[in-house]
Amino acid sequence: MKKLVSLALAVLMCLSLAACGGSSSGGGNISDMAAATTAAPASTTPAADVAQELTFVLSDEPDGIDPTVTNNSFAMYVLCNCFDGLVTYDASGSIVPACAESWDISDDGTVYTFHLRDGLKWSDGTPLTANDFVYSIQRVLTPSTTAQYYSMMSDYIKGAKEFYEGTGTAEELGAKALDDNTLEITLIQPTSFFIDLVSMWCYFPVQKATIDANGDRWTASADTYICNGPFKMEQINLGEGYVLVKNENYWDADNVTLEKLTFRFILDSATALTAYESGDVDGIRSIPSADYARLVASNAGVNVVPNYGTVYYNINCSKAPYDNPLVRKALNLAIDRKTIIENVVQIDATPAYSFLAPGYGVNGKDITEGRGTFGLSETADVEAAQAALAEAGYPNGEGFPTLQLSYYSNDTVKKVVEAMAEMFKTNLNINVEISSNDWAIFYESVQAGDYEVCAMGWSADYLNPMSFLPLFKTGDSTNTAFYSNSVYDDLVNQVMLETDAAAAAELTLKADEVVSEDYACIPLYYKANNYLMKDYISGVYMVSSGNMYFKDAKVVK
Amino acid sequence: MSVQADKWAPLEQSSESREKIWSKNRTFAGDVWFRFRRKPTAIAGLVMIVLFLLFSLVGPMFTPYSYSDQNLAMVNIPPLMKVYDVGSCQVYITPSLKLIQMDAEGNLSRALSPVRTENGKSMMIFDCDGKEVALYYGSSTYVICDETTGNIYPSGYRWCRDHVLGTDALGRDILARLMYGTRVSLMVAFVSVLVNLVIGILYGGVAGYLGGAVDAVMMRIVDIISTIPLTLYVILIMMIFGQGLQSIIIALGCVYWVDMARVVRGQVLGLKQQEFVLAARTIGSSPRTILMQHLIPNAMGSILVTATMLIPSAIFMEAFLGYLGIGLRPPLASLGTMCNDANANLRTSPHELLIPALVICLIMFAFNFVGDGMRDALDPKLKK
Repeated sequence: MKKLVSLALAVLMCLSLAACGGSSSGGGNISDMAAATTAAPASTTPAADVAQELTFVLSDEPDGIDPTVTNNSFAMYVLCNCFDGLVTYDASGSIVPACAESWDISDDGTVYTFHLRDGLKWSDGTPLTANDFVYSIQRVLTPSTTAQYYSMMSDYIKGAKEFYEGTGTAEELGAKALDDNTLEITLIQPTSFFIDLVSMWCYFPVQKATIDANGDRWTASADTYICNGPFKMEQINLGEGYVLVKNENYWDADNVTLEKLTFRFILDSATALTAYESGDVDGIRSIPSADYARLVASNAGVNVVPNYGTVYYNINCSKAPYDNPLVRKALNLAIDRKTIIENVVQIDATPAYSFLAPGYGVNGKDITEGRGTFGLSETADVEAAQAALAEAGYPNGEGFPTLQLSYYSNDTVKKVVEAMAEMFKTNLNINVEISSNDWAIFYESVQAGDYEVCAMGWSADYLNPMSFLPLFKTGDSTNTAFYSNSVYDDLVNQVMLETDAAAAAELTLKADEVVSEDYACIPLYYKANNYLMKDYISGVYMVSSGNMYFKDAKVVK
Repeated sequence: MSVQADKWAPLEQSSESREKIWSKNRTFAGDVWFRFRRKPTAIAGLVMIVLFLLFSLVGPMFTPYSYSDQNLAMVNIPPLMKVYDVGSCQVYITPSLKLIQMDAEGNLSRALSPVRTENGKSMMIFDCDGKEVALYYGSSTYVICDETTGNIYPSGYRWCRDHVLGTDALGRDILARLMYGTRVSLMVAFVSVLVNLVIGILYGGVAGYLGGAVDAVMMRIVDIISTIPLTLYVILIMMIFGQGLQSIIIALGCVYWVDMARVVRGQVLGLKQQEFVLAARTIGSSPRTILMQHLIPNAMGSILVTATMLIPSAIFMEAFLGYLGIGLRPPLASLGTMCNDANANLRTSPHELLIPALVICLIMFAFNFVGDGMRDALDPKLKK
């Protein structure tokens, strides 16, 4: 017992020592600190013969690196740099020719004819022809390939669905090689954004010879991983990373400066940051959120790229009282988006006032530029929110039924939901009940319309507003808000058929205005990707679909 | 030396004095309490439990905060803060590079936002009651200094007065949430143990007393129930009853009684061979009377001990379920959900995890100590 008492005393003393707040540690000067902590060695040696090598850290391992199989976004780093599709994106996010030098679209918008470059080669030196593209499309549409992105073809290409289901033949499939340099793709109906679809890696070519020889194992070793992009595989180190070297057989190899590109997996982002700050690696993909503020402030090389996606909350527009636009307006006005972004999620993001994210450009200009805010602002407008709710028949929240706010199990989403619930409670004086579920179960009940307000988010599969517009189209399977407006539906149908990009963009904005002025959802913020890259690396770019391209990379020390 | 003769006189013989038990006469409960209080750890455990009950039931009356009040401007505030004295006011640097101003009493007054940033000097300039101070982030520890001279202001550690245990990621007072969390955890523990007592005693008693084929079937059912993981039950029950406290209590009630049933059955199996049961049967007592009046009271020692040992395990299970995210409806707090919420900020604000985890530890200790003491006090074999 005595021991216990003395132990307790010791603990108390420690506590009281710590509590002696007044004992202040004296001043000092920051120049001493700067001397003690040597900053990352900023070498000033001239550029002359610097090795063109780059190491980039990835935080997740892909489930596979076969472009015809995977839809895993972690595979993108290898796929987008080892392969070259028909078209690709430049640094400004616009579609530019790649393997296809040019393409023609028939007058009715259903036949796309791609003219391939002369002398395209695989990384092993054998010629690459239009037949290789046809083979790759057929491979994606063969069920035994287990392609995860097959619907990106079967929904659009004529005969693709039948081919996939085994009721159609290769002759009936709308993908044909007219000659070695000409590929013709026939669509089910005019699809204005088909060219954006073609940039996805499921449309990349894969070599028949290596797949016939090695089967599914062709992606397992560097020797059999035949590709056609700016880089080719040098080493595959399972669980460690990939080493890519320049592909001399790439059509634009003269413009590729980088000789060696290493992707290294470091799963713990704090460890990766240590490697970055000590100069071991040249870039890291995911930044620990605790260090984010400091890295931005100290110009450590944070790159922020808007992601073509929106975080928003669905409102069940088919259910009373949420079928009333005024109620939805009140909910929208009651949210303090700035606080949520800065204090709850703690990221660098733009507040959203519409579900349609910026990131798609026509003629070098983002189509959402200059768009209004639909009466919303960064912070909550409590008075306007209460006025809207009163106008809807619930003055000061009286008589308003308890709002059911549901979300899927996720730490960040949970924080946001709790903050939003409190905002609804205090700003609108209504009761809020929160419930959560596993994603699969949650999404099932959302699809069934069994919710009132729920957490949602959308990331575009391809860079075109058409990947967003169906979200509020009557009868679409992704329209989980059950919003229905014939004006909007008409506009979306027009966008779908419009082959002129500028005219389509105009219609898109009109459609966006219809939904946003009806407050069909609660947009919170637009997603953004961020990564760290040393300032002596130039030419690396990420587009808003999240794809990252290293082909223009240069090391300029 | 003189001896008084009457001291040597023989005592008067009576049957009463011959039969008298000279040791102090105590009831069963009194006897148990006597032996219980001789064990310091057991008493310490009991005192801790009482203190936790007071903390969770009476405590909320003394705090101005509720478990759901958010202050999004003051998130992740630690209880002990390193503050810089810049003359006119005192400021604290948050991990996300914001300044929070503290008044003379140690209350947080407001969050400051930067006036401008000087990237070349690695400084952010804040306006602090009319005085411009610079936050220098060039080294791994951020400091507050004067912009031109670079002199670091004196710093010291101060306790946060208005949030004694700090705030969580949504700016909610941790002390207030701790009170409600402890209340929920203790309630889960007591209710589920009560349910377990009722089901377990009846089930085990019947199985043990009837024996034979009935016993075999009943115990196989128990085996099956105990082999299916609890997490699975909880998820299934949550599907039906929805998220919330009731689901957790039902889940724990459904599963935890199997241990109790096994203990009771074992006791009854042994006791029913004894003579007093035979005697009761001879005078025509019904099986029900024999079970309830004779067997169960005799097995009470092991039952109570098992029950006390179940309490910490139920609390821990609730914390574990909360930690998995399949527990209470937010914003309601339990100790488990508090730990779970703190997980994401572990590197920058470890206090958010440490405090509720410490309380779970202490509650578990307390109940284990009490359970230990009960076992010793109730075990007749240890009686001296």
